[in-house]
Amino acid sequence: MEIAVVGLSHKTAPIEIREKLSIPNHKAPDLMKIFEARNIFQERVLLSTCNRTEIYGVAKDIDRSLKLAKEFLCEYSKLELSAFEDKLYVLKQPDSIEHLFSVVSGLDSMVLGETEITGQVKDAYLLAQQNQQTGKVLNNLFQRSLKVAKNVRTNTEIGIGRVGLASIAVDLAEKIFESLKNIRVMVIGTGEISTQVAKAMVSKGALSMIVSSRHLERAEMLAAELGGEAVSYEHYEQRIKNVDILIASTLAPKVLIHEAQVRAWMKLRHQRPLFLIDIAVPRNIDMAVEKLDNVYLYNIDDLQAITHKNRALREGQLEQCWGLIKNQRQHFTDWLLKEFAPKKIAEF
Amino acid sequence: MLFLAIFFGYFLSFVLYFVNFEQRKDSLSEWANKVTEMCALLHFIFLLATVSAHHFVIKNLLDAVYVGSFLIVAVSLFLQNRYKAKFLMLFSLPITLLLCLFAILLSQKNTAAPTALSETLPWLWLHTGLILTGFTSLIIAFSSALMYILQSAQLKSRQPGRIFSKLPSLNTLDRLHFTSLSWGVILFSLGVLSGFFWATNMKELHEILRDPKVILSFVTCAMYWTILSFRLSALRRGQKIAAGTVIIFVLLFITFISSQFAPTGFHKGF
Repeated sequence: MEIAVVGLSHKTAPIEIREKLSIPNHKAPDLMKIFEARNIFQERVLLSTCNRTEIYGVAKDIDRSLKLAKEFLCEYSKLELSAFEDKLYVLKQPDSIEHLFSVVSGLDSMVLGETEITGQVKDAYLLAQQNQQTGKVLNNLFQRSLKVAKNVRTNTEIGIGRVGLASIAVDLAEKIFESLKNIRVMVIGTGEISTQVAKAMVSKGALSMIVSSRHLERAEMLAAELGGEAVSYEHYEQRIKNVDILIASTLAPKVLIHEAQVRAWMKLRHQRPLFLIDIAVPRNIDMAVEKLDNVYLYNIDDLQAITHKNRALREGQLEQCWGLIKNQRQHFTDWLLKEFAPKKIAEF
Repeated sequence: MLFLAIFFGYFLSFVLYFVNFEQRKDSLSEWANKVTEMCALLHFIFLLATVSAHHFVIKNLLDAVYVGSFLIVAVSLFLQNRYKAKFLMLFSLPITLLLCLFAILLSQKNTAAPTALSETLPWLWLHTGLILTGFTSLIIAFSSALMYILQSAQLKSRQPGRIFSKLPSLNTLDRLHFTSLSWGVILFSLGVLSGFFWATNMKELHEILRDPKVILSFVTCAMYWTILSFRLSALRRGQKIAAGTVIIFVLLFITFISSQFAPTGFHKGF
């Protein structure tokens, strides 16, 4: 009885290949039934996210199952095997076990240490279990893998800090305002990053966005997308009194917001904290505003510096994470031997 | 002996909070809370034992320190849970430890009470009760102001470090600071006022107005009201108000222990 995994991920395959092999959740039960009918693995779990497609399986004749699984992937993607064979990884025990533990802990993710993958692995496992596709081995393996993820997260700092610009901005805002609920955000300009940051804030409960741009129609489009309202650039200052977070990202070649302006806004706001995010290059907000009390200014370089710092912090935790994973892999292998070795001998 | 054990218990919980602050291990935080709660319970038992032994009245500075240090821990524990203000204990416990140490030193001395005190017990309860609860609240205001300054400096630096992720948000700290400052100033002022009426009642008004502790209390009270009015009128907010609270707290602490070192005065030894 051996555990293997066959699949590809963002590390091995470009998006053009990944999207062909991507398996939507609603198709997974039927595909697993086909696997069962063709006797591809005795137990199986299909894991498909935007960054990876993997098939975990258990079989006595593992090579035969792996061969059939590859053939199935060709059939499903309508691609020749040669088009993606070099992008596929095939891992057998004990590497397959370690691989799952690293995937579920976010060590194999595009954003190192992210937690979304843990939920995705859990969902994939539950789906397989509900469809009677798992047995003693994969049940134990996947349940253990979720414990490993928790263990890694609790005992290391792999999840320390955020590593995306938008999530860092949200994190900073939450350290100023406690929660983004009832916090009003204004976006000046309609750049891509400012849109991402604004969306991240809306998802955390920020109040309707006020989008201002010299091009009102663009502002209206973005405002509609964010569930906010658009105001013309000439009138944005009239609304500033009630704004807690201001994101500036225009293409203006000069400073648009000066210290004296912000000083006046702060009086209107009764000195309530104001968070300014200047994503524009050249900068839209005068750096002198950072000297004002209760005004917190971050520009694109500041946000990127935090990203790099947090990424480095997470990478520094890798050795410790792998130590935990190898330890857990050993425990699982011991269990597997104890559970199946006598049967193997008997079968032999 | 029991109080010495309580002191070391508080010290242990401070170490646990500190290590948890450094390493972010939830289990340590749970242990730190358990040790603090246990010590606070022992501290309460210690106060109860004093009640049964001496028909408890806060008759000198030593008693005031015993009660004050207990109130700081109890209120901090409550507020830490109420406002989810992580690590408030880390900032409150050093003051508690300082007071406990001060109590241990004071207990070595003979701290006799002014003889007339037992004749005016209700006034004494009212006066010391208000002053001590006010003092406790102002210590919480001091702790939260200190946390506010640290968090604000982290955010202003634009390179937030490890402390950043561990401290609560500015809004949480501002709310905690404002609430405790308001209660502290009101209770402390009422305490001072009750002392004033008590002295009038006892026809000792001239005597207490020459007491350095009373003069310092009036100055401290006036400064606290100034800072609170700035905050209420929203002329100032955030870092400056927090810095003000920290500075005035130093004066409050001097006021609290001044009677121990002043050569004369109505409060001498209290």
